[in-house]
Amino acid sequence: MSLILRNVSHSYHKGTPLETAALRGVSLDVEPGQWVAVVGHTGSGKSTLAQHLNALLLPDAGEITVDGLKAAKGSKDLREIRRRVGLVFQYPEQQLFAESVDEEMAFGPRNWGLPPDQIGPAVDQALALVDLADLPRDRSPFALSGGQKRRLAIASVLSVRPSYLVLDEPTAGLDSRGRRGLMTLIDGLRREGIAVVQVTHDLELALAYCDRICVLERGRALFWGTPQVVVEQLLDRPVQGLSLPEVLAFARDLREKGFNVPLSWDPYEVAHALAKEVG
Amino acid sequence: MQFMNHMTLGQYVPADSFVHRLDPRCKILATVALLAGVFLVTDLRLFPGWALLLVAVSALAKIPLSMVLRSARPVVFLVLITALIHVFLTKGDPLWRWGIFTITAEGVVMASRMALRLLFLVLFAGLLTLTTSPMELSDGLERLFAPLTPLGFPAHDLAMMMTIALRFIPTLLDETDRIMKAQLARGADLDRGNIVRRLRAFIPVLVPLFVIVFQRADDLATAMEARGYRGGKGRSRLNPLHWRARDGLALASVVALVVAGAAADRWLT
Repeated sequence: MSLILRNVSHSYHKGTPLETAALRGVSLDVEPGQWVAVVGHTGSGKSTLAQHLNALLLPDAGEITVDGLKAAKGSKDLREIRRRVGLVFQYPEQQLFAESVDEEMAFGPRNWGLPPDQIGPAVDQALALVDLADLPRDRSPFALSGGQKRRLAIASVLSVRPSYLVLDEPTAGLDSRGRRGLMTLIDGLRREGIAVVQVTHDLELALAYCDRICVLERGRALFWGTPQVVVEQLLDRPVQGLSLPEVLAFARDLREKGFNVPLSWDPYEVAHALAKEVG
Repeated sequence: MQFMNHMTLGQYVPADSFVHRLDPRCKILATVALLAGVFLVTDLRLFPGWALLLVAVSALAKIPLSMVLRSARPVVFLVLITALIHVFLTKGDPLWRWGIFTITAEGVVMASRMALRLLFLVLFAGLLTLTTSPMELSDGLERLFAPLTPLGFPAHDLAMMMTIALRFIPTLLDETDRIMKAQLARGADLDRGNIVRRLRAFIPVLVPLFVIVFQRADDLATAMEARGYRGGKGRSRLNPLHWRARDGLALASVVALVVAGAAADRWLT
């Protein structure tokens, strides 16, 4: 039971002079309960990758399977894949349309044909997951605050109980408090057994929170592994448009000067070691 | 599933040619003259002249003829329907009969005339948009209509509206694409069922789109005001239009051709 990508390639405007390869042979595994980050610069193919994970886009070459269901042209499982893999686009609050919170939340479950008596509990559960259980259900989604709107939009995807949740730049436009709140919320989802794939350009955020990181550059998956592994590879080979976390760069420079500090991106860890070194 | 990528808007082909360098006002007026010409000339024997002119101007504009012809693709269906209606519904000498269908000699002539007229109309207009950027076009229109401003005709405002609308069409197509995908990801079924069901299914796409459009319009208005925009009065231009001798010459030759065509048509009939 996992989401597997093998050598996935995809081009836009295929067969025209505008043809551009967005993904070139990307491989990736997402296990249940894992929090995976896909990190890359603008144009690295990360949004294209996100849309492949729930079969909105299909690969030109390579293979994608979700819990054994194949995402390929003509496959009968595409709808089921889309239910199992929830996809939250960038600025998801822009997709709100209904007259009330209840209507908005019931949209997904109704589309997937959930029996009416199960819709209510599913909605309650999803709203609780994003910390909006107390929201008046007859309120218009457009009357909510920015942060609430975003959480409501995420909940509307969670209401069909997906096994995987893909978030495209979920923290875009949030302040640092909102960002931390959202990360805590995602961490809670993982505890519920939902695997999370977070697409972001923020390497520091990915290092701080995620279990596995995939670094994309011009459609190629350059590095793939735990934060520690990815950081070691990043120090060897810089990635276009992706700067090292400042603390990590600082620790590296210190080591070059002969200080015995760990190659870490955690400011406290580095500061602690440095204090010991200096005495 | 890239829903919108088959749509290309604004077909301007940048190139450095005599036609591209002409003043947009000259090109607009010449196009109007040509459109009038296409309607003034009724004799089929004169139609090859239009084709010749089209080929000549395309060559002068350094635009491949295939590209010019492609600009007529959206109306091919309309042209065919028009031709069919004229072939079957024009009364005269029957050439061929089958059941209720009759084809007359007059019908064939009428159908070719109408179809070709429509085609030339679109092709000449296509030449204008192929060689003139939307910006130049709206600039030219603004200047052409400027004399009407004292009569209360909002030339500047209309040109500004046109520019803004053209600018935002690709952006809105992108937005539509994104919202459609977002709702598909939430299980929306956009292409099944009858018309009513499909229209209903589009509500989750249309509502967010309207919200975004109004938001954008509001932001744009604020941004324009913040930069001191207050309409066309006293506004100078980065690239003022210059009417040169070659513009006059080009326009005069086109008008002369049209007049000659109309005269020849009179004489032939």
